[in-house]
Amino acid sequence: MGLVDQQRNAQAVCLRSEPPQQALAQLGDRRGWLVYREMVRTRLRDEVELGLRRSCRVAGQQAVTQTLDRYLEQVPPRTRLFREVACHFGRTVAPWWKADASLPAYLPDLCLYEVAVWEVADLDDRNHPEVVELAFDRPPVLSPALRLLALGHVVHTQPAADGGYTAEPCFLAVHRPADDRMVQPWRLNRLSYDLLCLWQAGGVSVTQAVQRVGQAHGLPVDATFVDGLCTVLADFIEKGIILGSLGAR
Amino acid sequence: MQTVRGVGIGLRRALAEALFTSDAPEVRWVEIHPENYVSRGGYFRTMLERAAERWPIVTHGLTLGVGAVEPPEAGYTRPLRALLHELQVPWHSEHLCFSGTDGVMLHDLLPLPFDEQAIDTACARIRELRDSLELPVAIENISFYAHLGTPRMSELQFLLEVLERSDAKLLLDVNNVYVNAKNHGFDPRKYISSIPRERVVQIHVAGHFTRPDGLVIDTHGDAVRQEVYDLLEHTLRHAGEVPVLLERDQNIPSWEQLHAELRRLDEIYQRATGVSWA
Ligand SMILES: [Fe+2]
Repeated sequence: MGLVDQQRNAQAVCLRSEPPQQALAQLGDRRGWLVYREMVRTRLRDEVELGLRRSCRVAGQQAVTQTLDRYLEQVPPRTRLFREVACHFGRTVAPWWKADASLPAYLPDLCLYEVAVWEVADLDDRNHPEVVELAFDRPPVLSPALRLLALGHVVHTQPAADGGYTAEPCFLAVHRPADDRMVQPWRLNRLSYDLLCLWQAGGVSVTQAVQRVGQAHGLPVDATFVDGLCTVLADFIEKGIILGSLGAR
Repeated sequence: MQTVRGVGIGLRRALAEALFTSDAPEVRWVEIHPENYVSRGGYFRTMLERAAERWPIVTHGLTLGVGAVEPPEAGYTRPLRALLHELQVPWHSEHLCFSGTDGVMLHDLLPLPFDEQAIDTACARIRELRDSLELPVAIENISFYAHLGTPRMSELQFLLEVLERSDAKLLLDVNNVYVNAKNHGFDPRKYISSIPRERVVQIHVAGHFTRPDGLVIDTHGDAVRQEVYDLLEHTLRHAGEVPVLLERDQNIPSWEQLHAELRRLDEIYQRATGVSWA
């Protein structure tokens, strides 16, 4: 048996929900390889439970075990960066949890929110293009330490007495200001969320985005709208969510 | 390039504040896992900058095990190279192991078969890595709890063949030698004495744990045992003035306890190598 087949056998013993007996027999050292299986799975589970602490608590031990079994067997992590494992797991399993009627309806949203917080804590806030003072005819530059979420539950607040979260549309900017360790969630209205999404995708000036979003929402871009927009922009600049406009390239 | 001498400690989030605020002259350098810093902002970036202001840094990778069947992707080795050159590391180390195949990453260090094909693979990966990083590459001997297939040679022969044919440096993990000696029944002192001293650029020491069934596990979560201190002294007398790193990843004790371990390592280092910091 060649090296790659030996490695595939070892990997299958670590990742399949039941260790394949044929692979174990071919590897030859049953006890030893079951030790590796345990080590690999425990390390990955500990990391997932650390990154998605609240979601795993809500899901419960049994659901986490079942979900992790399926995850490791079907879509195991491919990233070299250990910190990305919890995010990959969370994004992968949120739709699975959504389809599972036995779990709380807010769990997938809570999971995606925790993924965003975990991820934003580590994003490199210096990794952005050159910035000049904000101008309406240029694309704004957003903080790289920012994730935008459109959720169906208000999961960034404390849970209600029964442990659940209010079901209503909830738009969030999950952001870490420069040089600050603390990730903060900001609740947005639909308009602000749409504007930030357009700007985050890049290539769209303040004016272009305002026209597009105004049109999409059937709102006239009049003096009241522009007044409201200026307040929102000033707020985003103060929070460090908008860094300025894209400088000359 | 930074000069690395004496005793160092692995930079970990859980012990960073204590390390930064304490007065521990025994700490002369720190080691980082580059995967924890590549393309990362926030606290980890700040922690690295604070450490780099104060100590030389050595990098020790966790995911480029040189037994991988596939060469690593440039999407990782390029930013890795940039980080290593920014930190002016004297060498970069990885493990003589594999961590997954077909693009999957298990985030653990799995043993290779002790045979010719694995030697050829490891030598190819080491050469590629040295070329892409433009730095000397050292490999670490891992602790292993199972054989992958039927071994065609001993672990020591396997390690020596890879070092010789690839011209790699060695990060000699003394605790791993001890753990393997216990689990697989060989003399750890003989093992260490068989290693060409000019290959060894760095040493690791750590704690281990014995399971009820007798299997010894390298945990990085327990205090360094007396037997490992003794084996370190033997290693330093053989290899000479090679920097020694204390690895502690889990179950982090009080700083006072860690500092006591560092002082003890420093005493052994000075006694065995004849170096005197005074
Ligand atoms: Fe080590």
